Amino acid sequence: MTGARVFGGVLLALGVVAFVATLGVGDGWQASGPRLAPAVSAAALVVLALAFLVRPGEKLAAHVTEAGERTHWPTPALLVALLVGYALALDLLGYALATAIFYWLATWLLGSRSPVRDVAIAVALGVVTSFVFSEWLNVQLPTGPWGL
Amino acid sequence: MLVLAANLLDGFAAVLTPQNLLLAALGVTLGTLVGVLPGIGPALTIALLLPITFNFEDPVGAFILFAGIYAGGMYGGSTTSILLNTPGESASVATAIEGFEMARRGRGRAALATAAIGSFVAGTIGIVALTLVADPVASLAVKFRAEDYFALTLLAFASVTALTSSSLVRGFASLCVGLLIGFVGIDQLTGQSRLTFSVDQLGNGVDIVIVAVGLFAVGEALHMAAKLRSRPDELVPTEPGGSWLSKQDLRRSWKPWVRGAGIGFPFGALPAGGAEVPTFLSYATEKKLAPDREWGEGAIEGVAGPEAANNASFSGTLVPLLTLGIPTSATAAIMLAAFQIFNLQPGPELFETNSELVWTLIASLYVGNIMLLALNLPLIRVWVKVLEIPRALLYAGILVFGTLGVYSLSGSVVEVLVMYAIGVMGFFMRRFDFPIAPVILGVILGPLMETQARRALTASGDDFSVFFSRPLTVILLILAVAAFVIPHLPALKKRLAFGEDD
Repeated sequence: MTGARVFGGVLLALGVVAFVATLGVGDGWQASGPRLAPAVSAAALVVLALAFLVRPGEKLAAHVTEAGERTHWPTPALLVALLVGYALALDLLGYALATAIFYWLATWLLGSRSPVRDVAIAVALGVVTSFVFSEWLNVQLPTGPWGL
Repeated sequence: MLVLAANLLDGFAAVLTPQNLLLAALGVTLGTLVGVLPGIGPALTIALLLPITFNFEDPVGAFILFAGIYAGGMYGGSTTSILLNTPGESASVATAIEGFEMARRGRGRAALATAAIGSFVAGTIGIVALTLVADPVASLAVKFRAEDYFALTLLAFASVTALTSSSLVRGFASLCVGLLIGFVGIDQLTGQSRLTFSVDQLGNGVDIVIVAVGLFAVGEALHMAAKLRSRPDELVPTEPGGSWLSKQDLRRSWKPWVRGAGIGFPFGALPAGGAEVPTFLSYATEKKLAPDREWGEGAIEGVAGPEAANNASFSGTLVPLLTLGIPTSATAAIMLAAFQIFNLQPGPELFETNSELVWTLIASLYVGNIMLLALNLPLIRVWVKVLEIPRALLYAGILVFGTLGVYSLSGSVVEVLVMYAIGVMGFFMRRFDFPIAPVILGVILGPLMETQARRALTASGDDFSVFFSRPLTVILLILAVAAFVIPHLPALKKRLAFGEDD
């Protein structure tokens, strides 16, 4: 249940930060002003997060506790790192190339063990989506230094 | 009545153009596809398509596409439930109970057929009911004031949150997170920026596409990645066997279809929606009415009823969405966002200012429903093949398209990173059993609720008694409290308990 407590703590922090941030909004607490609604929501989140922290396991579905015991943390953590790298690579390498590299690495990380097939799919995916979106749908995608 | 028929005929005339028919066919096919695929549903699909439909000149086409996706998604979930026993959406959980047992006993085809035809029958009943009810409700809704709309949004919040979560604390925490995300950006009435933390890109608020893609696509992919090592990678669908619907199956199915439609439509239509409760109610009803059938070993009534209820509730959901602008499911909330993109505000005015659009949309539902029936059974082999796509390729692809959708929306990497951050939160919400639907609802409906409340309060000079001075407002508030309490009454909870581990 430590994991649930940490998440409850994050929710609590979110609520507190949001509440403090709303205090600077508008110039008072009048009911029709811009401050009341976000402040009430933030305060409610604080209360609910506290209630959750008191009893994090209350009425938890069986599959949740089960999943907690069999989690392999490196995979989702690496996937997040890969996603962030992908986002940063978009402008740097261009959409098609960044997508092909991301897709290939992601399929491997998610357990696919046919790298040759996957690289073919990855390249096709990157090229076809960037072509369809920029040529047909008028969506401007970054082309990267090589104009791909 | 005559006006109604004329309106509907005009709607059909507008739908029956090659382009719109193509969009309807595309919608139901895509919808069925994402309904069949585990992990992605109609809400995510429509969210991903929103940036593309910016380019549509005519909003009608976009809504025909979306309605097809919604209907197809509701149907497609049944295939996964029956052949894999892994319901794609919570609304298909009830179908899986008897459906998978039928498939295991070599009666998969009969189960798929009763689901498909039942969806068609109940869908049609639901659309007819929608046709008859929509206009009267809309003219009733003209009398609604700001305070009534405020009470109505509270009712939608209370019912959706109470119904989708096993714990009120977690459900309402989800809702509050959604509300806070919804409040980010510049306040429309005063121009003050709220919760932006001086980040320029947050000034326009966090787009619903960013939230939906983060929670559904990234959250689900991370969830899958976390349990990768602990379960077999590929699931093998049961080959659908046996004969299609026999005479006896049909005799046993038709009453559950009609009853399911009768249960599903009102539940969808009340701003207390969702398809989970009516499907389980239908299951329980059928079990009670025919206790001597082979329950737990593949009773066809247990597939026919819930599937019918599921599809009828979809048509029901459109009643509050179109007439009041109140969505009662995550998918309906995304559709509301689509209306807003085209500068259309669903509600009673829509029936006056854009009645052509409304009736074309309703007519397209009839067409889409027929297409679903024509598409699904003949293509069942294709859907089974789709289930065999390796999970790794599927989820990597979902991440690529999710990123593409958000990037093409904003052209900025900051938004993509915000989407990933929301995805990480969605992952932890899944792990600790926080429901997702209230977040989506909070993002979409929160600003609407606030605007209406502030409008009412400005008119009354900041006097809160405005919410208690009209009978209609008070009734709606009482209903909101009831929706909040009733699902958690011990007696009812026990009856619905078997739906809790979805």
